Amino acid sequence: MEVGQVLQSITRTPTREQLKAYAESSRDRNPIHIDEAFAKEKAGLPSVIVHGMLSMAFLADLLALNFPEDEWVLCRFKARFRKVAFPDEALRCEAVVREVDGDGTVQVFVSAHNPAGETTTDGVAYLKRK
Amino acid sequence: METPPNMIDSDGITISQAEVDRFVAATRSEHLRGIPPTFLTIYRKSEFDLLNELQVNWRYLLHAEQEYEYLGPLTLNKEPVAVSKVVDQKERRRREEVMRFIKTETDFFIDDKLVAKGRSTFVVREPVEAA
Repeated sequence: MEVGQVLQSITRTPTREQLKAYAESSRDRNPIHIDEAFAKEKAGLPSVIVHGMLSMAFLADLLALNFPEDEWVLCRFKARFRKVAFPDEALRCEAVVREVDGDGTVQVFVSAHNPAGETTTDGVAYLKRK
Repeated sequence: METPPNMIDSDGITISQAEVDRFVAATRSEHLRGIPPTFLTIYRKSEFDLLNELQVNWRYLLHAEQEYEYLGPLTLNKEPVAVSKVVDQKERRRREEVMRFIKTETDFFIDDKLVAKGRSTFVVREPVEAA
């Protein structure tokens, strides 16, 4: 691992069905994620929006791709939900090594981008070898 | 602004393989093998109770930040207990909207051992007529 190293990326396209499944699984049933009429008429949004925590889950999957769980331990994981994401929009999830500490902790900058290239979520993860 | 008391809740949900499988299927994770790092989001009732205590209008609520610090193993067939508290809240009034910033911290315990910490930031942007 080297500072600045660009890691493997993934793309995820959440669907409305997925938002419903995630709402049930996560128990986050806020209607802005699952009720189109509520999102538009009550919350003033153009449509339902992707749970921020689902975007964070995509980034967690990205970390698992680059840092297999049998070799690495995730110590800390922070995400900032910068811009709302919408269903049926592809989110390109990227990871870059930001720092490698003396004790072997790797700091990774992760981010998700919508088709317009805007960052919807970014954050940082700290991982250590097992 | 008053600070509500700490909220304690176990949510009554055991970390079962079925719950993990359902979560992994919903997130369509392809590379995670164990209990997903964001699985703790299931245990947010105590945090939601705090937001209700603060009389947050959910339709204007946005989750701005989330952080987890993993201190011990999350293990199957255990039921985490979450203890949440408000650590900061600010309000900013503008001509057309009132913005509230709420920060919470949650400690997750399994068998009385602290296994993870969660830190959340929420933003509530209410139009002035609704606030």
